[in-house]
Amino acid sequence: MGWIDGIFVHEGAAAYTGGIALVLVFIGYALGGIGFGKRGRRGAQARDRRVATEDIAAADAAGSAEPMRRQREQTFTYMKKAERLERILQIGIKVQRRHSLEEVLQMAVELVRENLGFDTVVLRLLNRQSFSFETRAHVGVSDERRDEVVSYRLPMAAYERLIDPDNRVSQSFLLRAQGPDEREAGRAVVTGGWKDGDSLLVPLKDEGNETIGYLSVENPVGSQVSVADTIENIETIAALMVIAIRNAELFTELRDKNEKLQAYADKVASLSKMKSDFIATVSHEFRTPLTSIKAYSETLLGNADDVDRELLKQFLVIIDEESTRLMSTIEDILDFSQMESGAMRFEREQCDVRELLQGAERELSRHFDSCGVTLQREVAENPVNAWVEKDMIKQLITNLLHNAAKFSNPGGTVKVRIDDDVVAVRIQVEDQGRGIPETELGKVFEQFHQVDASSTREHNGTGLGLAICKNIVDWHDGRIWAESVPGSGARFVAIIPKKEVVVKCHADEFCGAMRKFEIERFLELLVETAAEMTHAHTASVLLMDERGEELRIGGAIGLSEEIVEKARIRLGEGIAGRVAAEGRSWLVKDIEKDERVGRANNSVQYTSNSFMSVPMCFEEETIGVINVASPAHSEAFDELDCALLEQLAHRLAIAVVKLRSYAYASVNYERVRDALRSILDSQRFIDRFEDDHLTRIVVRAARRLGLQNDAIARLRYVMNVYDLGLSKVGYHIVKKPGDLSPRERLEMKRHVELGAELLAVVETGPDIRDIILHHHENFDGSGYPDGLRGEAIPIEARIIRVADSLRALVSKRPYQRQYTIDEAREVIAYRAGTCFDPTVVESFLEALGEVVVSVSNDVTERQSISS
Amino acid sequence: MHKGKILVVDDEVYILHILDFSLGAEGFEVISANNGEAAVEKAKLEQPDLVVLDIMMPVLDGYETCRRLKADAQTKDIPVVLLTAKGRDVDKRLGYEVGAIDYIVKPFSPSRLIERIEEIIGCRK
Repeated sequence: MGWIDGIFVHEGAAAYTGGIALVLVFIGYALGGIGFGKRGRRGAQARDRRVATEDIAAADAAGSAEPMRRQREQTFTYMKKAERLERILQIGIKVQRRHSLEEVLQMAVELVRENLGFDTVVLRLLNRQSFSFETRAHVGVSDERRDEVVSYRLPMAAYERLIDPDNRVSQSFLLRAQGPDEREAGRAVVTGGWKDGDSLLVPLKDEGNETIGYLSVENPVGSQVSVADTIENIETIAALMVIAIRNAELFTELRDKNEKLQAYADKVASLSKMKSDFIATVSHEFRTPLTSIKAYSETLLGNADDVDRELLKQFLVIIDEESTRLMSTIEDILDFSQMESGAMRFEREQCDVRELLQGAERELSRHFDSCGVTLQREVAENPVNAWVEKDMIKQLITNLLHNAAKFSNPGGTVKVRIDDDVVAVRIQVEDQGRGIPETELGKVFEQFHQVDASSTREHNGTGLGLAICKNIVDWHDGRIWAESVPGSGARFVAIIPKKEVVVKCHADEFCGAMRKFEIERFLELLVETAAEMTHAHTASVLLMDERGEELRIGGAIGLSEEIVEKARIRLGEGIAGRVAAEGRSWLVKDIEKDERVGRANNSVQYTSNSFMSVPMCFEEETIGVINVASPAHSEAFDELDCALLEQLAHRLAIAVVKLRSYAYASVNYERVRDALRSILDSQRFIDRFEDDHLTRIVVRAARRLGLQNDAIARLRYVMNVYDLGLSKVGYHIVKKPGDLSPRERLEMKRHVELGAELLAVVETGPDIRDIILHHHENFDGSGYPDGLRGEAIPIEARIIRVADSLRALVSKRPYQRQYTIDEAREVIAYRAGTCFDPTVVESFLEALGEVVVSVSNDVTERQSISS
Repeated sequence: MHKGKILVVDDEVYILHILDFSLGAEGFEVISANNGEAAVEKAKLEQPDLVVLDIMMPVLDGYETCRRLKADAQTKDIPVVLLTAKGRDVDKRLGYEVGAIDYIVKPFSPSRLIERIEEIIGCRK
């Protein structure tokens, strides 16, 4: 028989299958011994009867007596036992062969249906986090019921009500659809058979007798099946499934562990390579100045009696210089190792980053002279104040400049730029040296990494300078990356959040598992995100206290610490109090002209004539208020800004609620923080001027297409975040000049999924996620990630697809030439029907025309909408 | 008193300077080069009695320089002393493999270096 081959093959193929088979044999024997069931299952019946009949016929022919007959019956029973053993082994082996849990579960339900004759089989497993049973596999569920069955969750408490001892049959529970004899259900069915709508619940229990899930079967096919027999069979399979589930879990765990181990091993190998490179480099860096010191001092000592003063002085200068060089190497290493271990204690203070640059310049003037390099500075006229660790930022600038000079050719220029970016400081250092190979761009910040560690290297240094920079930037929650400058040279860009954020962590505001440090960081990000998105100088987040009576400032940008400390706003009072009480936003364009508020009523929090106050709501409940004031790029906020802030407030509310409600806050903290940081990142890479106009075009196009206000508000929000997945792809790929390799292109395409994934933590529904996920789908189905076609692509995503292309075409990008508006218009029109939805293109180009006309009226000399 | 002509090769100008001073004071004629390529050219042209060679240098490292000196008929008999910050056994072994006659690790004592140079040149004369 085929199954015998099957068993031997599989015992040979997978070592642990042998063990499982033994368990199965044991269960099989136990069953056989108990001898449940008077008849075999339908599949085997015909053959059973035929064999039995032949036997009996033969015996009768021989004229044998009663003992002979009993013997035959006995034989018949044994045959049935063997038959059952065979079936169960087969099922068991089939199930055990699968390693993936999902496959095991699906196979198990299908086997129950095929072999035991039930139309509908559903398997639910206990989710230990939510303590409810979730559907993991099902078969035979009608189309109308499928969604309901899949999403249904049975809470543990409800499950416990179901497993009423009165309904118990063997290890299972019979649930009758209805009827007065409900309490008798279990026994009634065993004796009286199934009725329509009955179902059987078979618990899945692990070795510790804990329930890990259950099988639910309905609609038996064919009434001749013995109920007790069937239940016994299902329970046997249920026991096997528990083992299979365990195996699959163990297998997954083992595989994950192996992968982790492999990753560790790789990491250790590369660390050890880096370490030995580092030791070689460092020992060279130590030995070289030491060699001079020793050689010069020994020579002086040997000639101490007759050396002339001029030579003495010359030698001493060299010894002095070389000791300084040695010292700075040692300091580098110490700084780095301390920073690595977090042993240094840093204090932030308010300072002007321009002054730090001056300090760095003074220190480096000799280094620049000796390299023959000139420094060209491009620095804001006004103070660039930031709340940073002064010495660290100075070291950051020093290291970047030192590095740039080192890799410059004599006579070259190093450019340094310091920009005030509303809520962040942008430090940019550019050289005209040989540049950094594309493949190395992402690696230059690794510790001990020097692009050239060979013995022909031209440049000194421990390779720690940039690693230190990275540590400093990380400490400040900023970002640093390297780019190739087209032509030649390299550019390093560091973005340091100014953190003029004052945070106040009120006790009990968040669940206890979250540390104060994390709450503060989170509040910082919260206000930063609000300010950055609305381009506002001032922003504050007010949170409702636990009794729901008072609002307190959790964090603020642009407000003094005293205000943050003292501000208490009762519900219904003041503007924020009224916003919280009414649950509606306030947009004030000009406080002098707004009837709702007068100057007198204006709190210190509102530092400009125009401000917005928006409630943070989650499921009807107001949990706080976001205030922003002092728009950075225009006179007043408008309705679009307000809609954007409302969208954002909703997400931030979700973030707050998530952090409050989870016991394992730090895990969620990481995810929420990651999402907010990515939002901030994607903000910082948008060219503001271009973006404002683009948003206007998109909104006009959306109106033409008949989108409702809420959809337009959503679109407004997505315009700000749709590319946030790029921050996870790596800027060395995003900003790479020239063509991407196939692998890089694949990596690049992942940004839509990464973005959707990042934001998932602050979304309740799929709408925003779907727009982000599908903003690279093409109308003709040739896009990614899912190759959706036509109307199947969300309309918002189809609009963003066009807007994103326009943005790309008219921007200066390292990999392509900049298009004029008219050229871009032609490209977009040409792609209607392939990449773009033709109706969207039509509305979009009309909107583009209107906006460009109004822009060129505003700024006549500007030819394109790009800055 | 002319004891011999020494070519010193190092990318560190202070090292060249002190070697020039110390060897010069002992009566050697000193010529110098600051990278491997220049060293090979000078060795052919000047035919020094000995080469003192650093290893970690731009353009052409000391190992390769030594290999080239030893591969060229005009320079193969000039003894090469490696003077380097690379102090591991494997570095030394490689040094001898490419044909160096001695291997001195930095930081070094100028007087010890001079003694070694005198020994090597003395043996050959």
